[in-house]
Amino acid sequence: MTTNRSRWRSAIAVAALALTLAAAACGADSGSGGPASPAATTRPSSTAKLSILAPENGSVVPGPSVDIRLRLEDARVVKPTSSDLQPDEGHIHVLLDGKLVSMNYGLEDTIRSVAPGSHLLQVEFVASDHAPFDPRLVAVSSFEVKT
Amino acid sequence: MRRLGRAAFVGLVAAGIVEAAAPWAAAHALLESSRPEANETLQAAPSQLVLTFTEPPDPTLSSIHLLDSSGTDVRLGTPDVSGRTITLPIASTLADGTYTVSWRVVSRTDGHVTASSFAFGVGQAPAPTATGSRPEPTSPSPSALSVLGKWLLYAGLALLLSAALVAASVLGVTRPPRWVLASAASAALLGWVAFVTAQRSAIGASAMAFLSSAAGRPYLWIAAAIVASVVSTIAWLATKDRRALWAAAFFAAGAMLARSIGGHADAGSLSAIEVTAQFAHLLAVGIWIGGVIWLLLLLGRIAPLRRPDAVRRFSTTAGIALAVVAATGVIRALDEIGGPTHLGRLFDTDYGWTLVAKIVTSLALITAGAWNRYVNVPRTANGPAGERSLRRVLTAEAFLAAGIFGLTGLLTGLPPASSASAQAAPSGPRPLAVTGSDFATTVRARLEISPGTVGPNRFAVRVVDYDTGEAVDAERVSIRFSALSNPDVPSSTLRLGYATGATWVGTGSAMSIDDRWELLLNVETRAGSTQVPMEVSPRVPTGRLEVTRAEGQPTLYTTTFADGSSIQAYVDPGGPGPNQLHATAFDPNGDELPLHGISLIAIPPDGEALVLDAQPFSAGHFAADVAITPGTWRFEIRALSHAGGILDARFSQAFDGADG
Repeated sequence: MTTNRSRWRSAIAVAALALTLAAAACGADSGSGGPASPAATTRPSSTAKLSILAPENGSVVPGPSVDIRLRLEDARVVKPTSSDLQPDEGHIHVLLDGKLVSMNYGLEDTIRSVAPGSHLLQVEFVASDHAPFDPRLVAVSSFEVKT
Repeated sequence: MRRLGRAAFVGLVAAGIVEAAAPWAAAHALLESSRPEANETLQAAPSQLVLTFTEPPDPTLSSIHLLDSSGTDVRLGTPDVSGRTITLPIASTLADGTYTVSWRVVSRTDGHVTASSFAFGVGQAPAPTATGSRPEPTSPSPSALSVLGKWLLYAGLALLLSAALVAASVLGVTRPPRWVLASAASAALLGWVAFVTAQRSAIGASAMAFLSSAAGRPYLWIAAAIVASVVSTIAWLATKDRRALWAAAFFAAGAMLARSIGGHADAGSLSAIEVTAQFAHLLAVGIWIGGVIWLLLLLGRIAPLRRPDAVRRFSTTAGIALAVVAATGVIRALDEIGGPTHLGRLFDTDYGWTLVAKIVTSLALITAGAWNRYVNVPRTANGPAGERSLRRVLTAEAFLAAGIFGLTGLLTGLPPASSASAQAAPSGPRPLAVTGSDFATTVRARLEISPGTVGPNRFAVRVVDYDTGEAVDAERVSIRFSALSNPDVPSSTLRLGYATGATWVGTGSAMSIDDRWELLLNVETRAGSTQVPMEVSPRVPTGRLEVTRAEGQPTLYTTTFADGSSIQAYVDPGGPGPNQLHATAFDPNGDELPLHGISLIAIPPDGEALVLDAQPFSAGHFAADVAITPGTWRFEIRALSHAGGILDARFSQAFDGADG
């Protein structure tokens, strides 16, 4: 009996040591030593909808000036630039063939001196700080200019 | 009640001198100093890199790279290692630009790895990195395997040591349970394997490479001692010869000595004292805590009439061991935190907090031991009831002892508070330094300008005799400032006040624009006046860069300046091909900051800087088209506000097929 109780105490002691060991090992494992990642500030999202009314996708338009008309729903174009971002306020960035041609504070604009041929128009509704919403709000239209 | 009070008193007294550390080697080679220094602007290219660490680095396991602004390795010569310093010749002459020193070092003291980087500029102020201009060293946190390995090692050695010194000699049990000794020997051996595996994994070297290095060689001595102890244990298991039991204890002590010699205790100037204290500490811990375990396991095997005497003898032995643990622990703790004047580091660093946790646990263990000594031990003479209480408290001591071993395993993986605290105190920007002498070479001057940027500065000049180096006995010292490229900017004069020795100081905002300035130092003595011409280009204040990345978004680079204004820039769409560089300036309130002008510069991976055609789209927002090719590009944005403030933002971005 005494021998059994002694063995039980031994077993309990070993089990206690093992449990403490596990606790110490888990404690040491918390906290990584890896380098900190860059700030993950979330860009705001917007429920706005942007579409190109003119030039229509696939259309042929007379040059060299091309009139642009856009439709923006559930948001408005504002003039001030600010880091106070609202999901329904922003600016319009206009790119023609991958090059930035204007940043509009309205929904209508004219691009002058567009060469004859095929072109790709990209417009984006960006936030008041001129950086994109997440997800990005982009509309594209492929058109041809004939003189 | 009196016994309770006495036990509590012992606990409180012990708290004052409690075993404050058993730093079984906690070494990290952190960067102590370098030439060039972090964020230094050099007027001439350096010919070598000199890095001095807090611990001697192991050259076979360490690496140092010098990268130019495009991330390309600059060829370095064969490193020369002298003590804690590594000197690397730079094989080529560095062109003007920003350079990054990236280092990864394994401490020769006990094999811990640390890494970090810093930048310096040649002919220009270094551009801030994405992580800011104060890179902090990284060191892998102690892994679970490392802590487990050390726990098994310490527990195994403690039981092997105290089997002969306590179980046989004090308690009179000459044949301790075989399974306990076998387990202890196995634990010590397995612990060594786990610990070495964790170390070489953290370093990223093979086991052979690690053990054959200067950092790994001490582990071989520990292994030899452990193997000898294991062999002795096997011999005892087979023969029950007491000499084998004592041999096992002797070699366990040998492993403790090898650990002490190969650890942090051996790294300082008082290594003989520290190693001796460390070794005594380990032996005393082994006797005390190992003895507690043996007493708990063997109490039932001791004849009832002999138990009270055996317990009293152990209590006395444990008391002596505790005193040694406390005294040597204080010696080691003070060494690790940098001295008694740095007790605050206990609460400033991870090492310190872990140490505090260990102190608290030790206090609880000491209190339990004191309760046993003054309350339960006398009760054992009264029969089984007293013994039951003793066993309960012994069990509690065993739990606490196991916790201390775990905390020690964690502690030895952290940078000591003294070095961690030194690294946590970043240095400010290095002052601009310029030297000169008069035409007749009678006077030499060294001028330091702090912070060395456009705007207000502190000017400290040391004026000495050209030949002797002795301080010049000047009556008046002044500096005349002239902007070399802007003659319309009127010159101004700053009179300096005498400070001490050969040094004169003054403060002023004479260098008010970003230009190259002529500084004419005028030194008036009784014999006449002497002019020392110097030229300097102040640094443009750079801000803190924050990089924001998100899936499907261009990477945003926001540079915030000391006055709270900022520039946000991004390259869109962020891949090879046609892109736009956007830059928007904001005032401290977050509103658009109108700019008087801006320059947008893009530097491609293969060299020539491109001045982009910046189109204004609003008062503070500009954009330019840029055709991006694969590789790492640098962008420099220099904006001038209407108030005359200069905003300088820089960043680098890699463009490849998968980036953007």
